[in-house]
Amino acid sequence: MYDIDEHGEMIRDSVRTDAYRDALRASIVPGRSVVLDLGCGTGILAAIACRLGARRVYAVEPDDVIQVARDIAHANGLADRIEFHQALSTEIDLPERADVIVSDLHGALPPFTTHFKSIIDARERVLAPGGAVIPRSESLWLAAAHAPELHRAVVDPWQQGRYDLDLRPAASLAANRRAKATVRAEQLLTTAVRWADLDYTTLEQLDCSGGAVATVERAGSAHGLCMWFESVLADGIGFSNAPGADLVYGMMFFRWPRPVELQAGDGVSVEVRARFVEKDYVWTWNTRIIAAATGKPRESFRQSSFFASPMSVEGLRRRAAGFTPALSEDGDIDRMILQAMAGNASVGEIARDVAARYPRRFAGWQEAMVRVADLSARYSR
Amino acid sequence: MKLSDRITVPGNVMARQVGEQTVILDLASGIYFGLDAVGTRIWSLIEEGRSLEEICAALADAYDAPRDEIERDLLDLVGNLAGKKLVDLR
Repeated sequence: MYDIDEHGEMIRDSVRTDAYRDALRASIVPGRSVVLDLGCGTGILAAIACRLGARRVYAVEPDDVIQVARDIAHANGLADRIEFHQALSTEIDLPERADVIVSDLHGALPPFTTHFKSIIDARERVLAPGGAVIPRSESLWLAAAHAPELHRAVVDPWQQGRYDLDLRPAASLAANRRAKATVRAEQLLTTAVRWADLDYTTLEQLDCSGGAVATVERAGSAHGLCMWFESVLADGIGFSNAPGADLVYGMMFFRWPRPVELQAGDGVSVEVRARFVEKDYVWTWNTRIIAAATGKPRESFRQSSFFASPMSVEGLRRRAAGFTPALSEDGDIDRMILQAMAGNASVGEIARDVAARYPRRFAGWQEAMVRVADLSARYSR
Repeated sequence: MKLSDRITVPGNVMARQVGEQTVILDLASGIYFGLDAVGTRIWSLIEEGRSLEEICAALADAYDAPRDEIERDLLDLVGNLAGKKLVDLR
């Protein structure tokens, strides 16, 4: 979830927000169109849709920032035409079909948490025949980049033997991470190549994969792959977060485990796969550097975000299918709260009971309130 | 399945060692699997490109157990892995 500063940055990015406004203008029939704003955030697109004449807007957002969207709608006299739902769009039913579905859920690269899942679900269940999906399509691009600062700061600390310690067990984790970054156009050493196309009017798969060969145009030391997207919102309306565009999305930098000296004419052959697993994507990026002189691979990396996150033996043990869990004291406390929530007790009454049962954990009922209130906010109807 | 079979890890299967265990992710199914310490030893030998025959010999050197028992346990594990498409046998 984004904080209010990040929401502000998105609105302040006039290339992005103007393009969304123009696409809404091109898609909305004043007085008739119904619009669904998926992941509405502060509700700016919902409000713009109203101003452009949408008959009704459904604005869906699971985060508490939806209250800001409500307040903005009130402040602009639009509250009677926007119906807000604090929920995941996949969990609610709307009373009518939408002529336009608009979303901006894709982060620095479109395969991003439940982005595809939300669009596919909304298109299948909510979109009226002949309706518009904004964005309509996106293409994914990559190029190898000279980015020593992005590599040095995150990989080098583990490879340098600092304090006379062998820190290499952490190095492979750091080397397999990808991160949002800003890369300038002059840092690209290869041609930019498109590795995947996404058509949201027909998309059915949550996964995304592709490959491409970029040609080195300028010799230099390369530290990884810069990836970005180009977005088509509607006919003739779109934008790209390519290096140099300086849009709010930034780009995604996929590190290599070590820098590679590239020679002009070398090929950088890349296979990328974003596989949706459980709640987010596992990214794999396999790279081969093809020497111009011989036409043969001279470097080869197989990397994945699967190797990037720390895992503990204890954590794995508790998640194993054969493990028989036993509740910890924290589990007992939460069970007591949830059981009480199934009855008629108020949050304050539950907190008093919990504090009385677990006096060593809570100095008073007010301290227990935090825990009970959190569970109530999460699980109450 | 025979000890002379060649065994390989498909490209869509990834594994990483955590302590003495191994976590395997099958990108085709999106499912995680776990191996204990002995399974981890066998997996590392598979990844080295060893044949089942060689793996059996390495295990016989490492563990104080009868050869036929090692062979049976190895074939059980490999059969299980192959059934889940985590390894290919040829």
